[in-house]
Amino acid sequence: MTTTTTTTPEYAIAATSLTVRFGAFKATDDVTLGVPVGERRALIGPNGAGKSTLFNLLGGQLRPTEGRVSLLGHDVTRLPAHRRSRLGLARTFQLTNLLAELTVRQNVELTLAARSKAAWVFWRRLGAVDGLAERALDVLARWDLDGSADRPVRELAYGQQRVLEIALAMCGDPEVLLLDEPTAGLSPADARRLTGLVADLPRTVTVVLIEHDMEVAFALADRVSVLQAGRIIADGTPDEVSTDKRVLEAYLGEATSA
Amino acid sequence: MTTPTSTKPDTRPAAAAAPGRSAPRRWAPGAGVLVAVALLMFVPAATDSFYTFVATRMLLLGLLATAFNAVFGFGGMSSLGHAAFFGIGGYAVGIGVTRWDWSPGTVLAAALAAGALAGAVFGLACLRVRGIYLLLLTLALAQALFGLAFYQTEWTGGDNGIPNIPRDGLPAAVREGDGYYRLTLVVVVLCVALLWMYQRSPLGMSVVGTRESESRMSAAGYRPGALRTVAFAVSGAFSAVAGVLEVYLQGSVSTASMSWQISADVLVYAILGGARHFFGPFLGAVAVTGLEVWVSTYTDRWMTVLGVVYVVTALFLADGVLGRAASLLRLARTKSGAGSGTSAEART
Repeated sequence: MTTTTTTTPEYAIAATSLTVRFGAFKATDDVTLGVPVGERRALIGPNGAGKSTLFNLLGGQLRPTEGRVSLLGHDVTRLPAHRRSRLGLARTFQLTNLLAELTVRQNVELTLAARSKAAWVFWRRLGAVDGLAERALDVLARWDLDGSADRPVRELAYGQQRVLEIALAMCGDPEVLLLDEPTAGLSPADARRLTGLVADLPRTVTVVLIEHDMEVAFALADRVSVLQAGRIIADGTPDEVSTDKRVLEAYLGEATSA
Repeated sequence: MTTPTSTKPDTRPAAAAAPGRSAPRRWAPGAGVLVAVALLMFVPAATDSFYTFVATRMLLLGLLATAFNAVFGFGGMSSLGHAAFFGIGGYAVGIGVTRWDWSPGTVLAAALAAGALAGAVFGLACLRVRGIYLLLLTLALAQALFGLAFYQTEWTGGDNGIPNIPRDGLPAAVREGDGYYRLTLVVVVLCVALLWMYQRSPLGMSVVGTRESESRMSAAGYRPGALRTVAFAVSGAFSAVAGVLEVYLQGSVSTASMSWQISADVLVYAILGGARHFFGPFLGAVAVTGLEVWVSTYTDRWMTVLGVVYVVTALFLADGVLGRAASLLRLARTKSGAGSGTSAEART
């Protein structure tokens, strides 16, 4: 176990016997999960299965009661979120989590500044440092957000906010990207657009995504892990998982009977 | 992959044109400020010594409010402890000048350092508290410092304070009345300019980002705790400068400079003027101080009037005077420029 941390990482991100308790309730129960570099992994499971809790453990928003988290070969179990971010982890949140009162441009500039020495500059305007303004314009153009650059984020349409979340997550050229329900609450058209954006992400980025829409999950993912009541009950290719008996009982069974 | 190539030719000229287009807009406020400062230099000539005194206090309280807002409006942290920093600046003058015969430069440097240090301590102590608990903890810390000043009579003169602080260290031209007003104006303008630069810098903006979402900022790689501490240190340093100016003006310092009423006053300045706007708190400080003087010439019931002002602010000016002004301006602009608004939306 300890030797794997010194050699080239087998997994981009991995959890080992991860458990978190809230009182007597185990939100995550002995989860072991490894996502190889470059893979796209979907996490599915019914409401309350502990998908977002697992994401918070991987992202550093939450500390586990037991178990370990490793990121690109580093043991990051005790590292706070900002340190994991600097190691190459980025994420989006289930509920839109942006700098709502700031403009779209400022959101991007601040996110870009996080990774440069610019973060501690206090005597020059944000955009003027380190070419941040130009780099932000590039990012905005790439994600087709340049039309709303100077609008406060809270004024954006919800679909655009979800796009901006992914754009911000990709700002730091992450090696591992966690997407928490990127298409949740979107109109079908917006959801299709976002699915396309995720599918077009470079294959060098390891992507783990939580997705409620099974079709989307199966279309995007190389492999699928199924969570139920805090445990992983199945793990495999979309075809394997969609025919797995336990999954059908736990999850799809519910869906078809409904 | 096809969209970037199609949009890039569009955005590049726009990006190149943007600085040229915004250049007059960027310089206009700067020129306006310069003209305003030049005009303010002549305030003493137009009024008597009492109003010059009032104007001096408006300036230094404006600085205090602006410094306070680095934590309150821009940091999203409600502090009720800024009297501590103000008082630290005041005692830097009182103790430094009477004991060690410090020059004003040394006093200023000591006040900046002590204010920043105290601010950092406040920031660190408040890392884990938010909202009303932050309010109470900052109040408690400030009251602890107040108690220290009250009981360390050997150093601070306790309740009596330190009277008759000599101003001999100041150049003769700026020692009294009109001259001191001009000195205060220069110091306040410099400090406010520095705060302005800080506030729009990456560091200052990331503090604003922390106000908006700590989890977003830490996911991006920032340390929200460090940023909160920085905000308090910057705010504490410049609040202490305001305290220095106050005590040189008054010629004495006592625990009154550290009393919690000052913390409450500065909170009101910020809310009344508009805490989301850089100059809102300054405006609030000037307005409340001016109103106090004006009302006091008619009635002794200043506190009653102040209460009514608070109620009106809370009911009708939720984002302060500047906030209301900005929203009215926006309304007028969208009414007149509806056409350009739709074309901008068509582009997205």
